[in-house]
Amino acid sequence: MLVKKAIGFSKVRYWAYGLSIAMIAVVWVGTIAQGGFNLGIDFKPGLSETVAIGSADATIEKVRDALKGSEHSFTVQPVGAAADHQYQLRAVAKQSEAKEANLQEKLSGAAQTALEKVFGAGSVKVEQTEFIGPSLSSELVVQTTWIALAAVLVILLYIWFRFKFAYALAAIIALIHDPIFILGLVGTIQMEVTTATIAVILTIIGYSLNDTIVVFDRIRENIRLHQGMNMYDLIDLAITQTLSRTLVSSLTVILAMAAVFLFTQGAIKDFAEALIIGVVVGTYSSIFVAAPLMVLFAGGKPPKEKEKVVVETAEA
Amino acid sequence: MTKRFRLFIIVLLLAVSGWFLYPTVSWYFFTPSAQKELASGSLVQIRDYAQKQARDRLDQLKAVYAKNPASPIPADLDFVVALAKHNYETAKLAVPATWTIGDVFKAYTTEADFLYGLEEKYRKDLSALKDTKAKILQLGLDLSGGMSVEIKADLDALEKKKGSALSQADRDDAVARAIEVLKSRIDTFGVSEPVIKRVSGTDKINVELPGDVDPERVNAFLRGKGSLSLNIVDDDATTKVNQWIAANPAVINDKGEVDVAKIPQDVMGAGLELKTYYKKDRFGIDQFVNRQVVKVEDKFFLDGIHITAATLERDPVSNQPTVNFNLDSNGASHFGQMTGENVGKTMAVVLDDKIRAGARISQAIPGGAVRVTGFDQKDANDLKTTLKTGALPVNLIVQSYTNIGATLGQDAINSGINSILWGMILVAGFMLVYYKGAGINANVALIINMFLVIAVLGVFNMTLTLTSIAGFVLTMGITVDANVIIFERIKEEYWSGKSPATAIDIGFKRAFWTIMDSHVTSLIAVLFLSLLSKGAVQGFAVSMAIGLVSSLFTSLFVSRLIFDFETDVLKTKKLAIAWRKM
Repeated sequence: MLVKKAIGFSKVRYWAYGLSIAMIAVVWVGTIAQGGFNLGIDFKPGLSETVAIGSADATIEKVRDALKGSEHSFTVQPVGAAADHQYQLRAVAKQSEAKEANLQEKLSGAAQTALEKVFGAGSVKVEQTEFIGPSLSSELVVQTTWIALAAVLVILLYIWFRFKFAYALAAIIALIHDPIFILGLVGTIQMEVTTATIAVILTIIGYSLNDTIVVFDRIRENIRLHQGMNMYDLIDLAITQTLSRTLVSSLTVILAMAAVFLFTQGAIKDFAEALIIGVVVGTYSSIFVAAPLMVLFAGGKPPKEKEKVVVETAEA
Repeated sequence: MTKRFRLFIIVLLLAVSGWFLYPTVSWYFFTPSAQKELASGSLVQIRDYAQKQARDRLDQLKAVYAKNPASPIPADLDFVVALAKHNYETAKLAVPATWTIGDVFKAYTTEADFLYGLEEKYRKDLSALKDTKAKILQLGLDLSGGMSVEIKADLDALEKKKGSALSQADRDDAVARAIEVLKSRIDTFGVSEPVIKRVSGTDKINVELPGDVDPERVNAFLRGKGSLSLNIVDDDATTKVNQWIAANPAVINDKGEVDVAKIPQDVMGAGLELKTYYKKDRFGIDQFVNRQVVKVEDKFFLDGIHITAATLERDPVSNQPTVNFNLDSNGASHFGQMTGENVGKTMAVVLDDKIRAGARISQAIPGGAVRVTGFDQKDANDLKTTLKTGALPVNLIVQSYTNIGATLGQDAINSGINSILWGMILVAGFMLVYYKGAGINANVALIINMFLVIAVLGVFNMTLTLTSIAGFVLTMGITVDANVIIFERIKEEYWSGKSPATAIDIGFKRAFWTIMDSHVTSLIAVLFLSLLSKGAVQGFAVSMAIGLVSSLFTSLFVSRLIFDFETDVLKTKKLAIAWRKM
């Protein structure tokens, strides 16, 4: 068996713990400084509408001024090139309006009337409308939270079943590490939080877990092969042995998502961007955080193996 | 398993997938766009098309017939032989051995018959095309453009109105009835291929309307409460008014509607209204039958809200279809009185100002259980639907609403195709450079995986959205990852001095549980995602889940077979698995 020279990943573990805590602190301070998350329509009920205004002087300032005349408050963002005069309008619905049957019509109509008053009748073309009612939105938040928690729990149980508790605990911490960082980053750069963001987070959890499990698998194998070896050397060896796999896999996902990032717009583009960052963070956490933590939880000794678990033995 | 058997399994699977994928491919790539448009057209469009085609073909045939009745059938029209043959056989006539145009015309007694036969043919062709369309991989609204509305049935209000708590059965019934109402309305609305379904386990209804939809008309259709009533027909007034209209045809406008205001008072008295009787034809489009005058005073009128249930049954003796409906207690006593005073008169079922059915009252009907007979199966079924769906049982609240313009949809399709294409080129290119020969294995596995995923999506008639394309692209990453795990393991073993065949064998064995573990954990995450009720995330989760399962297959099975082929059949002595020499 060829033993590569192990790279001393675990030697920098305290730096890594420190770096992780510092990074997470920075992005969350950033989020708080930004005044919280930029909640998308899925979590902040109301109307989101993309309109094209067929008037040459429809600048964003004029559109904002025009909408001030309406009884609802709209936020306006440009979409695409300035010459297209396309804008995204957002209006937030109040909880008291939850039972109104035609809230969507009311909000959309208010925007249209206000804009046409300034830019002329028939000048406003609605390209895209999205409306989420207040009650649906709160349902979604509750549902999302439960689903995320349940998913993490089942994954924990699976790893516990396949490995040992110390592995599972370390994997879960590495797993929580990634979404916490990504969420903070999303808040800091004010990326819109939508259900797609939930998809990103669960995907990153899945990916980071992949990496962690590949490393853990190798650690378990090495424990049998090199009995009596220092645990930190052992995990360094395992990480080194799986390093090219970890990097190549991360790189291919990044390549695939880069294509999505380049060719799409809006929510999907954000999705790809968050995923690329997430894969980088996930790769980092499984190399520098998960394995050293596992040793820490196992008290510096190899976690006792269950006899039942059959792993392919070394020599064949 | 022998290699031959494994190859057989793979080829079989690919063949089955290809077969399932065939309708989708033929639809998107080989069906002329005119046909596609027709198949997604409204009922009126389909009827107009069928009628025009039938008329044109008939004229063409008549022109040939006029020249020479003994001339053969034009090649592009030989389908009429099958139609004519069918008629010959039903009439028990000898079927001619060689068909001439005259023989075809002999199969029909009148020209109208022939026209009807041709129309039926075109109608059936289009419904077949519509059926195909239902079997293919659908494009989501974000790709095709269209409107998606989620509505909640306001059961709290219904509860308040009723004064007591609703049982689960009551709730289910209210939502089911609301859906039926929306469905029957949307038919008359002429929207092509609407989807109206309950969001399972909730009081919500999902309405999807593809294509360019006018939001205002949709709002009207969602909002309208609908009105259903049973009115006594005034036979004398009906005769009088129809005679008057016949004498004054100017009151009928080009849509066939009568300007009621112009009918003089002495022709149509107070407490009466003129209604038009329509029946649905075989295209499902309203056809004018006649005009009747109904009484609208309270005494002669029963509001549809009193109807509690309607069923279609068969008379045990005569086997005739009968429509049975029940009334609540207020309705029952009113109806008992109304029928008692009007024995021998006709009662009209009026839905949204149109008469849908009529029945003669043979006796007083107390007690609120009503039986109506004298219809054929189709009319009886229509009446049952009308009675059941006349009025919305609950208020509907719009919960979410998305409308995407068709041009925006086209942009989304382009960006989706571009990201799949470039994602594949980048990943495949990288694998070739990094793993050289083995990169081909990975890429073959990748392409097979993509093929399988699309086929499975198609088989289950799932909808392709932009997010499912994102899931699709991510699946590429996962498939490749599985191969990378295997390759790295093989490379390690190979570089430690083992023969290619042994290195491959050990590599696969060692990688097996790693791949299993990583796929299972991802699958857990994805399955939970699919529980999220938002459609967009579901699309992502579903395509990922299928991708994960098929990635297990392609990496452990397909890729392995290719390796074995190289070592056993090609007797490769050297493995090409790395971009650099050890």
